[in-house]
Amino acid sequence: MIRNLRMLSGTVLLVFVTAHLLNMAFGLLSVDAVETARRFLTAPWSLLPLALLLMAAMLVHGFLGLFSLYQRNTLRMSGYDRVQLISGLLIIPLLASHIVGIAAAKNLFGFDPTYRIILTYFWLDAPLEGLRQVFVVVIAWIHGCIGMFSWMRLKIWWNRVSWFIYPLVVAVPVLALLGFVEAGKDVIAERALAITQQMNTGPYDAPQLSAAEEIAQQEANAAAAEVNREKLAFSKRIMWSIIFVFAFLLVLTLLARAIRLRKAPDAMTFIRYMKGPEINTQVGKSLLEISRLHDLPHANLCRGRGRCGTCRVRVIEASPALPAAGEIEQQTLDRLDCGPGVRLACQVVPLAGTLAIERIVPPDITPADLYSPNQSDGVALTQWSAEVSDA
Amino acid sequence: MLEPKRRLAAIVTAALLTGFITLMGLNPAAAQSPTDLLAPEAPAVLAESPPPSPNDIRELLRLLSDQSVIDWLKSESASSSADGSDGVIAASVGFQQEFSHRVDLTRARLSELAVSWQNLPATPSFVAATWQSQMSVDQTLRSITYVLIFLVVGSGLEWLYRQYTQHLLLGLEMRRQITLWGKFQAAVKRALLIFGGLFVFSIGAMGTFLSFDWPGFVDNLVLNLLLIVISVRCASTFSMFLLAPRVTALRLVPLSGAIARPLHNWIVILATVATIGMATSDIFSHLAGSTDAMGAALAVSVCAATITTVLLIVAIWHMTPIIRRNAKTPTDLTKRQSHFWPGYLTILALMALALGIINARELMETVIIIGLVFPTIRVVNGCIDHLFFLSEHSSRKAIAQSEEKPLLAETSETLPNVQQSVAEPSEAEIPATLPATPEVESGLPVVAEEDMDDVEQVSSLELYHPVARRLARFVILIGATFLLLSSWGGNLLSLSESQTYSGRLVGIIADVLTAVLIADLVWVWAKSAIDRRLANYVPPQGSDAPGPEARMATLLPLLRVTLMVFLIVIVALTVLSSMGINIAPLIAGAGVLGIAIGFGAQALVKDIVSGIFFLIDDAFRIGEYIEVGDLRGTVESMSIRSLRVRHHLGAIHTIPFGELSSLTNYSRDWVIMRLEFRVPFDTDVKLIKKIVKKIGAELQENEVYGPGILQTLKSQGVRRMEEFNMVIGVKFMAKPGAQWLIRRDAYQKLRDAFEASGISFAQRNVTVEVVSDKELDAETKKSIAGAAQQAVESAAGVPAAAPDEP
Repeated sequence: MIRNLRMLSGTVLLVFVTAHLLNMAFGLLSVDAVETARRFLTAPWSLLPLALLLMAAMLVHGFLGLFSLYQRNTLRMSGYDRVQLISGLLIIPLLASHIVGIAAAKNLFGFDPTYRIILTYFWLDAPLEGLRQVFVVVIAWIHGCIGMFSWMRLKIWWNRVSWFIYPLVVAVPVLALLGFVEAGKDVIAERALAITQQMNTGPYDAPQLSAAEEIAQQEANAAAAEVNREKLAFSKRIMWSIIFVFAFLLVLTLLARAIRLRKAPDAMTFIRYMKGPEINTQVGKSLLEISRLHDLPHANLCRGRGRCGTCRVRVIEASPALPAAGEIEQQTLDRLDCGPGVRLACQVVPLAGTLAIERIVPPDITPADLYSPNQSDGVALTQWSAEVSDA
Repeated sequence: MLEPKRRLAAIVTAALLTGFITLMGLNPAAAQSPTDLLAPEAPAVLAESPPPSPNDIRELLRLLSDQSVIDWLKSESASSSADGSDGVIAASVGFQQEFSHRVDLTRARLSELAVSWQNLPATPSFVAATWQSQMSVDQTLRSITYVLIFLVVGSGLEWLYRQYTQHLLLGLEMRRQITLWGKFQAAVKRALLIFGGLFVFSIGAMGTFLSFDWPGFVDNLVLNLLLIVISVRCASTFSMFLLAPRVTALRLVPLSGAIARPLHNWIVILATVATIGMATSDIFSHLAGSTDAMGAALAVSVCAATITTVLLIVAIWHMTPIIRRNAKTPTDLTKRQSHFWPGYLTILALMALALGIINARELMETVIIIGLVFPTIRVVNGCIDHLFFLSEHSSRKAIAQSEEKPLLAETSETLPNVQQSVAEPSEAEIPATLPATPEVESGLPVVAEEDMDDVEQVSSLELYHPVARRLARFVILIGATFLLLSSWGGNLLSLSESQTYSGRLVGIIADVLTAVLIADLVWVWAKSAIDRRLANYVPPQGSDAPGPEARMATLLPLLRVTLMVFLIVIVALTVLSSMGINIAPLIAGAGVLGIAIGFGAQALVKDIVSGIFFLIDDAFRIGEYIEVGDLRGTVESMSIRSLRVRHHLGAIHTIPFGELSSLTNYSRDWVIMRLEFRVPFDTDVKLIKKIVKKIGAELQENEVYGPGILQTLKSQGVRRMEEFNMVIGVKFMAKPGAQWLIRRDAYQKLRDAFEASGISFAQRNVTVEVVSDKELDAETKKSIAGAAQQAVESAAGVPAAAPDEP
């Protein structure tokens, strides 16, 4: 349930990001091309149902992310997981200013934030914001892709489409960023041109105003500037409050997690890996996490989500007996038609005592091997299974 | 003979001087060969080089007015030929000029340093102001954005590359290679894959950067930043590849994980700091340009160099206790080494820093290269030992596994206490000892590769070990020479045409070094190959027939000595010729001498040469029974000149090979022995055939000589008829040496069998017909018998001797 909800909300967000990035990629043509593409790619997201969907997806995904952080037994994780966690945590603070800025432009200042304005802002008025956008694009894209991959690579069709998806994964952000650079260069050139024109023609075009008119205009300007400043300050406050709320939630999650782990028993368990070392470790972590903590290669294609079953182990000896399989684990085990004594390492949390297990799947398994284990060209797999059957 | 001697003396003098000059880093400006350097041309030499400073002239005048210098010059010109002494003068003038030039440069540098030291407090603000004038904050931020975007492009492409190559890499890393060759292949493939990714990254980042137009300073800045990232990644990838800080099985150097991890970290840190330092220096020298009156760029680069050096020293001293702790064989040697090496490296780093600061680039590089050559050789040798040891070990394990029951592959490896100097070549050489048992830090499941072909190669590995060590040393030394030359702006290939003394000297040294190293390499290879084969040769035991190795046992030591003499002569000639000594007379003289000796020792030479050919022909081997002319016996030994044959009665014949015109060998492949015996005419020949057949079968079943019989005893029927009897022939074929015993037994058995079946051997009897009816008395009978005896003896003659049994 939670798994599917996370997938759904993530997919919605990723589709939005993709559309946004594709829009930016038109910058390689011209700024006007970006503007034209906006009507088809970005503008629909401001419509009410889509906007609501987006909002809901963002909230759900955010809270689910914090929940999964709460559930982690150890912070030592695989490279992909670590990237996923950190990038997920970074998105909100980095993106807040952009979202608030766009919303403020529409609702407070009442003008349509065209790409020309935004690009000018990012490249000329606030280059730091531009830098931040580049960061957030990269981070959000990586986060989304890792999430999608962990899910898709277990599907039977993945093997066929992956070769076409990989280039797309790189092409979308790369084209978007290059479009950003190219459009930015256009904008910078336009600004420089405008300045030189103003300097050439400025003194002659300036309208001759009377003193009173001048004062009135200055006052009007000052008042407008005051209003603008207030509105800006307001939107800044909103942005910072979003960031603070997020930080507060994060700290809360970490605290809750610390309390949960503190409660865990402080006992040791002794695990013997067949064809591997014998280790002595603290209880309270799943077998997969223990393997990773000790740098033992352990296949896990779905990264410990109980989907793929590649982390399965044969339990040779367990005292006391392991807790019974949960729903997710049982489903996967049934699907794979595993015999008794086989468990999923990502779901089993060994108790204090001794345990002897054997990793069944070779750690260099690829998704391609999942559906054709017998005719796979991975020699390792066949050799491994031969060894296992010998043993 | 006098002329070459003088030239030699002149060259040696000049060589000493130029050696000093080369050490000081001065190529004499005079590009003259000794013969060209006639006195009138010396001023032209001076005119070619940049005009001397007043200081120089004063110095020169002072030197020239010095009485001791004048005396020395006079004595030199009196004692040596004109061209030689002029060469010396020219060289020394060049040296003085160059030296004072250097001194001036250093002095200028010192004053610059003083200026920038005085202005040091103002430097940061100056740098900031210059930066501001060249680039606004916005522009800086924009540059960073650009860099970030290009890095993203590069890493995106690299990721793509990885997706397509990852399964190859994983396959390589997860499979443990048993053989050395397999390991090497895996390492090369892994390196290709890893560095391919890095290459794609660089192409992506730099390519997109270059495809846009940039204003000048942004160009420099962004390029520098990209270069920082790429070079740090290069260093890190390289170190990762060599050290494999997390996975023991992939590590190519003999280090435990506890050493490899911090070492890797330090390498990455040092590479980062060093590249950032270099890039900063470059950016600031670009930024400040010619307007830098305060020496700010200098200050920045000196700061960067100092920070890098300090970090390097910190790394050295941080790694030392770690290595000492992890070295589990605390011997005296290790202790002394572990105190010596960090100090040595620290001093080296400090010297390099000091020389770098005073802008003596060539000297700095020389110090670094020379200082690092020997540690590098030790380290590389350590690695080679480790690799060879590991592969031999694993091969042995493989054999053990194949012989015994299949074990689980993940048996804990126990390495013996191999003492090795271990370090990372470029950054921090710190000696260490291999820990007795490397920690099993990763239980990489082993996919055992059943590659039993290499079991036979175990022994050949030992053979290649010294060769590999020498080869590594050779490559390192030659590489160091090349580096040294390139740092001095020379080119090894054009050195022989170079006409300066230092160029020639370095050329000579390089030639000599190359010749000696190549000869050494060939010698080690040949010697170990020969020794290996000799060690494999087991001399034949007892009466066994010696195999063809016996011949090798004779020839190989001879070959070894010949090769050594040959190599020594060739190297000596090469050295002499590259030193400029004309070796043609030597060779001619040797030729004449050779002819003279050849005539004198014609017989000796004939003996030696024909001996070699007899050995190549495989005409006889040690232990074989041969016949030369009328001499027979077993070959006991062979010397270079003669053959020693022992007659079966004990006499020893020494036969020079030259005397051997034809030679009969009785010990090859098979011999046929024919026996014959005489039976009366009334004997049943068929019965004899049967008996012989039966005895033949009996003989073949004998345990002792049965296997030696190739074709057993068989009857050939009646061979001929004689006056009083018929001759029955039998024969058998046997292995050489076995025939005597078989013959003895065959005779014995035949006799017994004949007796049993009533066949008597024919006896020489003379029937005396007495034409008388009377009874003969005893005396008459006796006289008749005596006459018959005489008749018998005269008719039969003396029987020919059958071949003797040895």
